[in-house]
Amino acid sequence: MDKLFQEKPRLEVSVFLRWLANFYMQEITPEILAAYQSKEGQDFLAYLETEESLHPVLEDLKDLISDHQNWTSLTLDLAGDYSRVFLGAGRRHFAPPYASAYLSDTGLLYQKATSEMQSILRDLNIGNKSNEAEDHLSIQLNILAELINRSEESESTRHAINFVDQHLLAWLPEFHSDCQKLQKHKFYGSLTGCLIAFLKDLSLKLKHLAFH
Amino acid sequence: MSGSSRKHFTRRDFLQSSTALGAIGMFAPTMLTSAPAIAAVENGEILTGSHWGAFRAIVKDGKWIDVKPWEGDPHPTRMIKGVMDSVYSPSRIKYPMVRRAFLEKGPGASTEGRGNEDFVRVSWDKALELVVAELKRNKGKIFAGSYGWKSSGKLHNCQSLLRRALNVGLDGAFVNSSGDYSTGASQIIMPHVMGTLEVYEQQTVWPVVVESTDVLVVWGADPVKTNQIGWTVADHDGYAYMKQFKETGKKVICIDPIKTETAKFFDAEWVPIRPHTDVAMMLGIAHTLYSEGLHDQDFLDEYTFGFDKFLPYLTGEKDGTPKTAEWAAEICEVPADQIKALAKLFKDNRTMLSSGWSIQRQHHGEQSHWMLVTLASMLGQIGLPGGGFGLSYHYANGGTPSANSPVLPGITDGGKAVEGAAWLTQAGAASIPVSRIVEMLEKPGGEFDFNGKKEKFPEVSMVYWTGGNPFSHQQDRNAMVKAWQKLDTVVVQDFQWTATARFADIVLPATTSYERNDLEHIGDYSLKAILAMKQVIKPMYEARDDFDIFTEISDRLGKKEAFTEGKTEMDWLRGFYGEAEKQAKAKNLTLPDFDNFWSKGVLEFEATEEAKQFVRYADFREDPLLEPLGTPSGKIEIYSKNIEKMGYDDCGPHPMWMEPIERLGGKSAKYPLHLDSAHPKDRLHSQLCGTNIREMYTVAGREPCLINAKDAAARGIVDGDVVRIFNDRGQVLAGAVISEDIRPSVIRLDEGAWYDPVEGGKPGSLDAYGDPNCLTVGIGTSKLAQGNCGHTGLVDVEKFKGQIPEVNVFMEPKSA
Repeated sequence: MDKLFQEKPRLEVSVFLRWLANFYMQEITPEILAAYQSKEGQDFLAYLETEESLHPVLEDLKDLISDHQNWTSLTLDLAGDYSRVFLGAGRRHFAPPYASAYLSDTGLLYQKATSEMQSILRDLNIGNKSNEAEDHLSIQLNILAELINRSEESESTRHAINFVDQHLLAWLPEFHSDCQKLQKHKFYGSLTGCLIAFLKDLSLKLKHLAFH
Repeated sequence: MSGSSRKHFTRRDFLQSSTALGAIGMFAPTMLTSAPAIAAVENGEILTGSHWGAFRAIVKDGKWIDVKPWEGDPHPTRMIKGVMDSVYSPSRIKYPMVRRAFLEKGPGASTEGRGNEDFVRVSWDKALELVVAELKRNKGKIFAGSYGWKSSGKLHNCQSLLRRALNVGLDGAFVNSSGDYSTGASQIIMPHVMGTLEVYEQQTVWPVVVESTDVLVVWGADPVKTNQIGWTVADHDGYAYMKQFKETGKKVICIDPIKTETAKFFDAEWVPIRPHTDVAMMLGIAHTLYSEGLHDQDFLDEYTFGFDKFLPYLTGEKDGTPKTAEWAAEICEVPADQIKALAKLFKDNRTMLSSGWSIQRQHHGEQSHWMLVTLASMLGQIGLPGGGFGLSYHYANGGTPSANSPVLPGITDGGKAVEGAAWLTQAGAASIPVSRIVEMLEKPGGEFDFNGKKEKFPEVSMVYWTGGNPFSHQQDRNAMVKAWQKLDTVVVQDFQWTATARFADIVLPATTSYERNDLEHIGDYSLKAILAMKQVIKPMYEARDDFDIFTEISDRLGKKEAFTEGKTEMDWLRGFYGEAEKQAKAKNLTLPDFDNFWSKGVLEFEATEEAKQFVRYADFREDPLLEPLGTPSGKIEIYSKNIEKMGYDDCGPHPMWMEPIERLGGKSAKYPLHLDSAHPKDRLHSQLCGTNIREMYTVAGREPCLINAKDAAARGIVDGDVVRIFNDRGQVLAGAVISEDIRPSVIRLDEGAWYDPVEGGKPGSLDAYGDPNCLTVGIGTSKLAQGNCGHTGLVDVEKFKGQIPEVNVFMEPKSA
């Protein structure tokens, strides 16, 4: 474990996860793009660039940041995608970012996956401060970040491996394909592709750590 | 930023830098908290209620996982499962949303894009800022006459709350609506004829019917189907009485183009009348009664006014056409001998002429119930046990004996109440008959007649709709789609993406009744219990209670105190209960205090012996002078001088057969089939169409269309085919169900099927799911009532060839 996290400290993994999570919870606004132009933002982007699996979405993000003349309409384009793809505003087909929607037979929200996340949160003695269901992708990624943060013990590592494989990678490929089909602009498909690559890599490394 | 300029940057550098904390907080915040979540209720069963009945919600870990009917419900509906489904359905509106063009370019921007364009999410603060700015800008031109089956509950009555907010915050400067879609014609004509609304009032009770009625006629109604629902919380007590009646073996006759659930339940004699011709058949019976001297002249003399003026019309002395059974048979396709036999049967037996509202929801619909009352008057059994007529046995379990219960008040909208119908009020600066909304948008300032008055359509630039789905219940959908484009601003407040929400500019997410506390009666007529509708789960996503939303709107209009009167949700509920306690005292009843009641959850009341023997109009029959009706003559008005004075060409002073704009067998009939848009079996109008119980009835994923085998064979249609139903007004797809339960030349497509245009926002678009109101006529019933004509419409049907478009209106989580 220690060897792995010398290379990829736990805090860093959890920051990456929470950064990815944030895009599924709230739309990109001109204010956020402006913040990326600040020194803090620039440093943070440079920091993110050290993670190779994130490069495609970082490229998209940098394109957005550089086109500041058009921030208002570009962010509205993405907000339209967000509403249509994730919130299902006014359309039948959408890609709700909830494990229940993809892992239950009925496609309803608040199914077994929600209960499982609630149970993990209870075990960790923490709560969900958003209005979203506990199996919302953003919350799931935050839970994983928390598990990684606590993964000094091997049991927790196994926990984290299970979480990535069973609670995330079990549905994210299908979700990714839906995002690509439904989006008008490429950002959210690209984001989800990077998320999957990042999680696959994380899963391999965690397994390496746990079993060797 | 350039990656190369920072190539020596390491992660550790960043995390140890002074900027890291701020950046992480901004770009990668945590969504977890050290405080574990607290659910409304963690585990257990919570008793609550709905239009479909009272039930126990089973909650586990703060999640609603199952539902079981309240043990006091003698006949629970299978629709209850859909109620839970609607709460967790992906079609929930989760956040405030604004149509993108509206957000970018303001009110009135590309209104033809409504129903098709992207929405974007906004904060509640932004959404309410927009709503309040639009309320102020459009003051006086806001249509707030929202109609629809808002959720049960005395406080979270979104329609009253909307009008209350505009009454206190905008000095009442809004346009309201009057009447409803259920009984638009009858509730205007009946006060002229009987002196009351009639349609929503207590009937001669079922125990009396079981005991005394020999022949039960069900004319254009399906009580076995429609009594599943109630305006308050359905009690379902009518079912036991219908069973008792069936067990007596007495005769039941169903006059209906469809062999209904009721006809099958009672194994009734089915009279498959041609739709829209009920008045002609009634006249044929009336003529038989008169010509054979079977009518009750004494009753007519003592209790009615104007039979002598109606008679020349009946006999043909006035217009040269005697309304004989033979004349009627030509029109209604019921054989003359059968019409004559029915006249004798009705006369020789204690006969209850019960009717639904379908026969008045059509062009000249005023005539139907007026003629039914005239027929009942000629039979002379009104006010006798088990005889006469009844207009509400099919609705909310009408005819179940009323308990000696106090009556809960509810939140008021600040307008004057309309006696006899809790949902009708007279608030607002102007008002239109509710189904004239499209005409209002088409012809601002245009003159129209309504019940003796000349009125003008107000100018409206904004609509605020809550607790209803006009893109379901309004007729002539394509005319509506076009008229809707004239609006600058449309606000819809709902919990799910209805067709109406899709045609809005600003969409506000409301909670369902299961995410808040309220009070309601069980049993519209039986008043058998007062129910604590307790919150089952926490409000979902960013949904807010209607009371909260309108409190904040009032606050932004500077009138919060006037709106809330300083009271919270529970303060209001305690107040309503307190009023019930006062009434109870006057009735010598002792109620538990509020806290005890709330903890118990339900408070039941017994029907009195007197209520179990209630006979409608017995008092009037007993003493017509001391107990006169509320009509000008104090009697049943077969002839109305008031209506005579109005001089309308489409509603004369006595009931008569008037050719509708289109009907089967009519001279102007352009299409060969009548469209029967009956109430659905497994929905409440359009409610629950978006849930999993749809799977119980859809055919090829679409609304089922009942077609007689002969009509299907003539068109090469087989069971399960996708068919296109069409006329000059619109075109819809549906799934064919071939059946002998429907008479030839009539097809049934239930109302409430969600509108699903293949090309959103485009008038005339093919509807992929099967909304019958794409095909119905949008005109008013007549100048008198201006009700809707949802049962008027001729169509044709064909097997759909070509690429079958996908159904898009229901939210599905995957793009399959």
